[in-house]
Amino acid sequence: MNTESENIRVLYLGPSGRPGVYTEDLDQQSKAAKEMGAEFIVYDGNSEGELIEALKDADVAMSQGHGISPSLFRHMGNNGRCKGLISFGHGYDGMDLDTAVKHGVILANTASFGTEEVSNQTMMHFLVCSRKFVLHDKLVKNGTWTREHLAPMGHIAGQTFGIIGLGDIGRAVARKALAFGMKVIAYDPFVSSWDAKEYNVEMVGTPQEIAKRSDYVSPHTYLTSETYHMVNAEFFDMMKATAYLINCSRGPVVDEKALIDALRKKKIAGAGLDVFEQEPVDPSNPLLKMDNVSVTSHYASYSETAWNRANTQLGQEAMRVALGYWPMSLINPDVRSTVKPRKWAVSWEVMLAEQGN
Amino acid sequence: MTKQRVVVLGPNTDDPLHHERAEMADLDVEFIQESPQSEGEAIEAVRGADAIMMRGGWGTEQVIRAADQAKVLAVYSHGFNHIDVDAATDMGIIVTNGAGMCAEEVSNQAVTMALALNRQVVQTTNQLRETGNWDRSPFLPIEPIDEQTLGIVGFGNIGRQVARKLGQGWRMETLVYDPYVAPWIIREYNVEQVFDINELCARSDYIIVVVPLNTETFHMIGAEQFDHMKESAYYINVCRGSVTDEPAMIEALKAGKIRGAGLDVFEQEPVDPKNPLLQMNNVITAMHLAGASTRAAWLAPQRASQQVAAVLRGEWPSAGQNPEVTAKLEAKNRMPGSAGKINSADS
Repeated sequence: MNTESENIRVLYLGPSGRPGVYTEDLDQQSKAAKEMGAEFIVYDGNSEGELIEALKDADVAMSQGHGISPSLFRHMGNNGRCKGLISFGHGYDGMDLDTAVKHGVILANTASFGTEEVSNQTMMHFLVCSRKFVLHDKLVKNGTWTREHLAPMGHIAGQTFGIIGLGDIGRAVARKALAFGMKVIAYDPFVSSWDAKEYNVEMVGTPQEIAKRSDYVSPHTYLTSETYHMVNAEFFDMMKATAYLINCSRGPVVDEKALIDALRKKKIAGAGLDVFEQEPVDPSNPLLKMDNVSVTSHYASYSETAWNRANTQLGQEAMRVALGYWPMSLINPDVRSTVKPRKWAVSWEVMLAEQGN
Repeated sequence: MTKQRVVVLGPNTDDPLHHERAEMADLDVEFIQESPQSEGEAIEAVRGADAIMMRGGWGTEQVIRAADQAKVLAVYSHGFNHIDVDAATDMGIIVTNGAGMCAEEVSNQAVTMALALNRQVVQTTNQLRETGNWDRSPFLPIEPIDEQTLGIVGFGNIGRQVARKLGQGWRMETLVYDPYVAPWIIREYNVEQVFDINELCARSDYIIVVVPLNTETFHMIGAEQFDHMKESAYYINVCRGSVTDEPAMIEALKAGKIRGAGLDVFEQEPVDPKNPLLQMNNVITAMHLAGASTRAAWLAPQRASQQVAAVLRGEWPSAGQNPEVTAKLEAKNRMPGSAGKINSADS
């Protein structure tokens, strides 16, 4: 066992100081620290003052649903022992990246843990919408056997699937949509042309073009100030009347009021939603009453495999940061300008070997 | 404001620079073409340059340290092993390459060599052409490639395309050695990651190396690795010659430790006509043209120009190769997806 890692202290933050969500024993989260002989500490305080004290004695922190106030960053990074924070999950819409960069705090997430699951949920909503499943499930269960509501119904093969945000999830959706024989187009200003080519996706220059050309539109972006209400009234006005919106990213990427209005005015054919602007969704939300809208309760990323993977990754990323490596999924790359050089992130198995385990 | 000086180093000084001018049409730049004949001339050429675009081997520490105003050094090629990146980082110069420029072509060359070795196309052609001999026996056994194992060393743009084309296309079991690749990329491509290069060598029927040449990859395939390979294995190098310890490879081939090799690159280029590799019937070769195609010929200057244009606009270029340099940049050339807006008023 390596002496360097023996002195490492990893701080675990559960929701409001409680131990972990869904996995009370924290086996997965603490696995990497234990493999390296580092100390794994479960934070049990309840105030910001207590948390600041705990961070002073830790090399890295990991958070699973614990709120992180930007003021904590003042006691981390270049100003303290705790060099970074790893967050469970994908989105980092609650995180103040600028403040973290300023204080040299390295932020990472558990990138791609649920790529398969979210892309599957997207494909499920897409098929459910396209095949008008919600309506017909209800009709059949109510004793009505009719085919009068079928048209218009797309052929899928040959139809156009429009993706906004061609990251890991967007690419998995593209791969699956291509398997259905669809034309896949995408808008993503950050994607390299050769990546688009590799995934056999046609890149378009504007979100408007996605709206106009697609039979199914699916955003797979982070929620940021740039993507907030990116799909709005203007966007729905440009969509085909036969097109569907699928959203398995974040609720506020879509202007929900505008969506409801578009559905009522039949500007689009329907929607498949895993996320809402307000969660849990208000039971009186009109979207829940529509037969052309399929809904799920923000669980797109879930499967036991995915969540175990996320928990394990959380622990591994924490050890990378603690031992002077970059994490695999750095979410504030500008922090490279405010911290000292580090080693490239390497696979966990390689790290174990390098650290003499 | 004075024009930004883009110094283009190359074999001649009368290139019309079509792509360079087109990509930077919105910028206030002037192009200066130089064709240095010595390091001293290269040093003079880069002094006062805001951007350097480079063909040829002038990326030495002395030259880079003379470029005290430069924000970016763009190479037209994929490899940048001829550039002293550490010196550039120290000088606050972003180094860019032609990432993805010829991944299609290089991966095709690798696949071509694997198939040609498997089917012994070069050898059968030579025998028929030279002797007219119809005897098939020298070329047997020919293994069914769909039941064989592919080993890819380096899982970047090119390695992934090799996995897609040869691994998925020919349904080969595919192993990957790359200590830096993220686990989700491995899953996305449905390949098996191994963490010991010798294990990859021992299990693979085709070992394809597609890594950049640097201190870590210099001679990474040497006597020890050839000792681990199957006698029936083929070794294919389409990246850089010195990734292979060439004398060790010659020994391995002479001793029958591997069945053959496909080589686009050599430790010394142009290759010495007396190099024993050129005399071996089980070695197929090309003259470092894996990246070549009519498209790559124009993508190279276009890509290099886009990189320079991005940096001069204050953006992080898509093929920036030394992210550590941002420590010297003070909130300029920030990376996409990161905090704040690029060059926003508050930065």
